[in-house]
Amino acid sequence: MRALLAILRALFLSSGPALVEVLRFLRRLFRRSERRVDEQGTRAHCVPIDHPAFRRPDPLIYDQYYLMNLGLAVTWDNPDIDLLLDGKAVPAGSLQPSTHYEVRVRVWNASFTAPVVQMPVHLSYLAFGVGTVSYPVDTKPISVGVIGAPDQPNYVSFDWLTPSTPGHYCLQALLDPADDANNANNLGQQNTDVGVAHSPATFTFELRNASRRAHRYHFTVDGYTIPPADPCPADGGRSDQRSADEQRRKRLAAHLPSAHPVPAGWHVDVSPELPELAPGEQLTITVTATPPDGWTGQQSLNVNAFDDRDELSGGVTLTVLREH
Amino acid sequence: MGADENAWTTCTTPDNVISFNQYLSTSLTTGVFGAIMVGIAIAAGDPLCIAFAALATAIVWILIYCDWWLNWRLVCLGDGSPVSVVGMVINIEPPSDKSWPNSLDSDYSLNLMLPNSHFGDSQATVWGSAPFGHLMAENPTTASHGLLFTGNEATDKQTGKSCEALHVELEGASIHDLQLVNTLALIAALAALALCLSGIGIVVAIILAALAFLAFLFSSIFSSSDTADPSDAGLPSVETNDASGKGAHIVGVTGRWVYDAGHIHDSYHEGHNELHPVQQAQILGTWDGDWPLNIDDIIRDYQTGIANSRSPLTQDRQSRPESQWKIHPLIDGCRRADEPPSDTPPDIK
Repeated sequence: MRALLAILRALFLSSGPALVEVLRFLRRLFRRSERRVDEQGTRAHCVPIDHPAFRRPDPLIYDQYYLMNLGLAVTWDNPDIDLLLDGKAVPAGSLQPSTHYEVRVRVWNASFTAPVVQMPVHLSYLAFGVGTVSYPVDTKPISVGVIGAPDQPNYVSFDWLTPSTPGHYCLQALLDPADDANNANNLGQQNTDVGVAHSPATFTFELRNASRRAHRYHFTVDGYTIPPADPCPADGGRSDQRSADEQRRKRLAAHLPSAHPVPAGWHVDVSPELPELAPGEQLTITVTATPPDGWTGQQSLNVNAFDDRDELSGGVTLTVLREH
Repeated sequence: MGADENAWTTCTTPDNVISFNQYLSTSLTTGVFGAIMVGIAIAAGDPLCIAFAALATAIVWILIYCDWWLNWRLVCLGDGSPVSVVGMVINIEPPSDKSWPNSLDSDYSLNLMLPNSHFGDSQATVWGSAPFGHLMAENPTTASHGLLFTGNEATDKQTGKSCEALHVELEGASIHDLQLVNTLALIAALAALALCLSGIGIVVAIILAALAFLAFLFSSIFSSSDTADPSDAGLPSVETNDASGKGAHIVGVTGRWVYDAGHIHDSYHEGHNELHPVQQAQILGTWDGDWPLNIDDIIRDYQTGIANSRSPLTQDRQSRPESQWKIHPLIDGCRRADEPPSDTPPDIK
């Protein structure tokens, strides 16, 4: 009876779908012939697979190097790294020496199907500037759910005892996953300083050549801050892929450097303008920001340092304040 | 893929498991159909019709075998919910290691050592281990029907060490493909037989029979290439231990918990529980010679993460516009209309 059912099912129910699937199968075969197939065997330690059941998480943090590689403007006031003192947020530019701060790191996961599980997050601090030496603070694990899950994003907190030497410090959070769909978005940096513009405001930071060959550096300055998110389209909560992609492109345009020049009337001077540094050499860079006469308020300026290959070496965000 | 996620197979109840060799069983059931077909053809007195009937019978043999493979070989265990485990990859069984006709089984298999088990542990020790030993131990569902249970021991090929392991299979599509092609071949063969018996359109009948024969002949060759494992560079790879006994991946695997009755009556003479098909798998860490100190946290967070990813609430949220970001939610994301404009998810600055 089971055999008869199998035959009848094949003849009357499966023949149409079968024809469709055979055509699809032939198309798959045609495409597969264009692919390189690695030689395999069980004695190999490493066997690549592409079965759809195998999933890769994509843990990420606001990574300035990744975003700049995408051609986007960045702020070094990292929205995913927060500093707290006694439970209250404090600006990273005004830290007390030998004081315990809570550093809270927010981690996202861009995967729809693979959670991030017990991933180490390494926190370190550096002297304020670009390319300076990193000192480890601690490593802690974090798990992050898939997009749409209740534990997305998730947070991990560190206790950080600031150095006894007064000064500005940067923080780096590095995600260290066992597997990752995109390894380029795992390093977040918090490099900020706040200065009051008596007229003008003057900042300094350290520029260090962390590479193994000499470089000549140059700087760019912009007034980028992360703009408020647009409201999602009111389409009943759903959006097709094509229109979603189009909306994403529009949103990305709001983050292009060309959309965020230094505001009119401002003059920003970086000195020295084109420093040359030997490997390991460090230099103090001075930034002088002169606001227009009569200006009051708060203005962020991002100073990004590039080497002579136009590769981003790092940057700082300087916030100019002036009150009435 | 079938109705079940990443599955071509279905699982059945233990009373549906055949009680003798699958090849013999398939041949016996095919024989009934074949006797009728060939009998009709002999009555017609045309040798060509007899050949067409024989061809149809051979195709039916394939279809019945595929039907057994896909629908009557695996016994459902548990309550039918997917099971999520964490384990260390002892060894890998890619379909490329199999020779024809075994290569028609294009499933890609891993053998996992499960937490709190170690190389050299006895089968009973592993079966009694927490939290996953019961998945490998004989289950009352199959024991009550007297189905053969041998367990599944796996050997690390670099160190030669062995351990009772949970077998997990990522399904390839070759048997499904074989069934599809032979379904069409059967239609062509029966049409050819009908035309032959009617005595009209004999040329068309020969063409149809030739097509059916070619499909029958080459389907196994083509379908066995539809495996689960070949890949391009850049995709995740699964590693086993090196000679020092380190380096294997610790993976999370979610799948349907079944008993595999596919080899209880053939020369392999083995029966064991497994996850089949694997519906989700991911790399969670690397084996350094022992289980990580936080293995309990890894298990808990993997199981929670998978459960959350499959919840209707999460899947509903995933389809919403605010979940369509790809770079970073603050860069290419949007805020829900009911959120205030300044809200960027709980930012404490």
